[in-house]
Amino acid sequence: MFEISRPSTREVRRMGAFFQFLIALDRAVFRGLNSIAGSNAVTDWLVRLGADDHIFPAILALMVLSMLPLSRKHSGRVTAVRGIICTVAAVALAMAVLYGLNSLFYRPRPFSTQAVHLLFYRNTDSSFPSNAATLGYTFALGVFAYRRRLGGVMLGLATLMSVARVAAGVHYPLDIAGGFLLASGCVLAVLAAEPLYAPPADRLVSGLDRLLASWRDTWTAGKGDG
Amino acid sequence: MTHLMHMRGDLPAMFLFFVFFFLGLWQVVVAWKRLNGLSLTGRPDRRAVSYAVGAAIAAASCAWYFSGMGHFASPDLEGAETLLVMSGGLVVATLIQGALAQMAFVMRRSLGSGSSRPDRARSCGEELSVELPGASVPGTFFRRGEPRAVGGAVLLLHDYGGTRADAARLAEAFANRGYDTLTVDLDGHGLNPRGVGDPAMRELLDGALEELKTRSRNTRTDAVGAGLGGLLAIELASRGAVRSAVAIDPPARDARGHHDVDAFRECSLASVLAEAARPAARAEGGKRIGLSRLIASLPAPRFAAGQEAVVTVLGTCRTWLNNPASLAAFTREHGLSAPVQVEGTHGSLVRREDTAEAVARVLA
Repeated sequence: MFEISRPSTREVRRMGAFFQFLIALDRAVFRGLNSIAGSNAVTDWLVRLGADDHIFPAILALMVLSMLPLSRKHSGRVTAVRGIICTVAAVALAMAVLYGLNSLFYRPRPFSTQAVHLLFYRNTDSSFPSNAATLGYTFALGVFAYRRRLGGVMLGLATLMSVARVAAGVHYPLDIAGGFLLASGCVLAVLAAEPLYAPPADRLVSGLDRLLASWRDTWTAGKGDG
Repeated sequence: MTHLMHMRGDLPAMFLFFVFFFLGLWQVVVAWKRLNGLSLTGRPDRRAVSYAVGAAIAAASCAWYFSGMGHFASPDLEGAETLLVMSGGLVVATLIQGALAQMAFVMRRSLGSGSSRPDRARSCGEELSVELPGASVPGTFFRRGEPRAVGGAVLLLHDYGGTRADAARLAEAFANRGYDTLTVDLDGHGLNPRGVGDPAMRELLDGALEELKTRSRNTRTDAVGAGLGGLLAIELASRGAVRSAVAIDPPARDARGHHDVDAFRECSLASVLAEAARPAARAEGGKRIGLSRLIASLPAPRFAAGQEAVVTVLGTCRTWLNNPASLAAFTREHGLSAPVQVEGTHGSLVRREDTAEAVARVLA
């Protein structure tokens, strides 16, 4: 375990100018966004709404599932099922990587190292990378790989959630960027494995097709549905 | 998993919230996708009621959960935990929706508000056999009554999962309107000993047409089919084997030949699951073959350039097994005229007198 937000003077000297600039930028953007908090009750409520652990992740998860009812024909169902499998696999992979990263290092939350306008509860896990941003962007990018318009909307929502979490004082912008990069990597890795999950996805669609056309002349069969 | 799995929130409350939320969402999806067979509000689904009830349940569950202390921007379940509880809630809500929909279906039927099963028509036709290499396929011939002036012969093809007995009512109606009518059990159906090998059943249909011409002594033959039989009738017309074809609500197909129908719009959950578990038609070797695979294996009808438009498609006005828009897209795809819309569900269409009337008008 080592801290990356409060490096010692000696370590700072060792850091390249780029990283110093990055950290300075990270904190400056954080201060800018966090200044929104506490300005008025309405924006505070909106920031809390966006930063909530359930609301945006649940909406994004529902949007992933909505790929199926939004698809009408066989080809649409193939895209939807592949998209859902890709997203679920990418989320599982991202969670596993997050677990590993959390065990490797710890970056304190902004509220534990400086005075912030905190609109959220005090999270205890590592600030970097942002779990919520990783989850949100994995959902969005997984869908974006298969459905551009829906995925685009989801990318917007994931960004709103991420900005809200910075504004609420629980993340630095760099945590969000880390989450985005981790999500991109996981989605790309799963997409590279499409030949592995495409055949089972197609079999699932065949099963779904079979269910949708499970029709018989019910008068003869005595079921009386018709 | 200490940092990903906190499990510090109110797990039962969140689970209950998701169950109710998804139950509300189910009512919205049922109305949106017109899944009449899964509807709790009637059949056909009373969409406005279903939307209102669904939105009310979802909104009430959100209001209850998020108004409680510790459920909004407070330490609670998060991330992966939320997703796991959400998945559990979705599964349980789906099971409850299925059970409630089936109960509503049984209740509607027992109270008589659902469609009642019509009496089977008493067959007055002449039983015969269509001789094919290695098999004798049973059929029924209905000799035309008055008025004799109209004339003509009709090969009538039943729907997927049916038998020629289902077509008897329609066959008698045609005979009464002056058409010699032959019905046969399609391959893989009824008493036909042959399984579905040739998906277009070309050998059987050619043999049946020969038998019809011999019996009727009439060279003017038309094909009429319901559902799957409709697709076969279109195929017969596309290769010029019949003068014209009338397809009664054939399953719509997309450009790639896959079906574009939804059984949940017309059938109850139990009957869909029962049919999926044991499809009605028999393939060669006794294996079962579902409608989905049968449709996908049917060749696309190809009409020669300049070939007279000889196919009429009858569809239902409402969204039942076929969506009227899908059926219209299907006819456009093959250069056929727009479907003629009639009242009734896919299942009841072949038993309605006005369907027989509409078909007779087309044939005349």
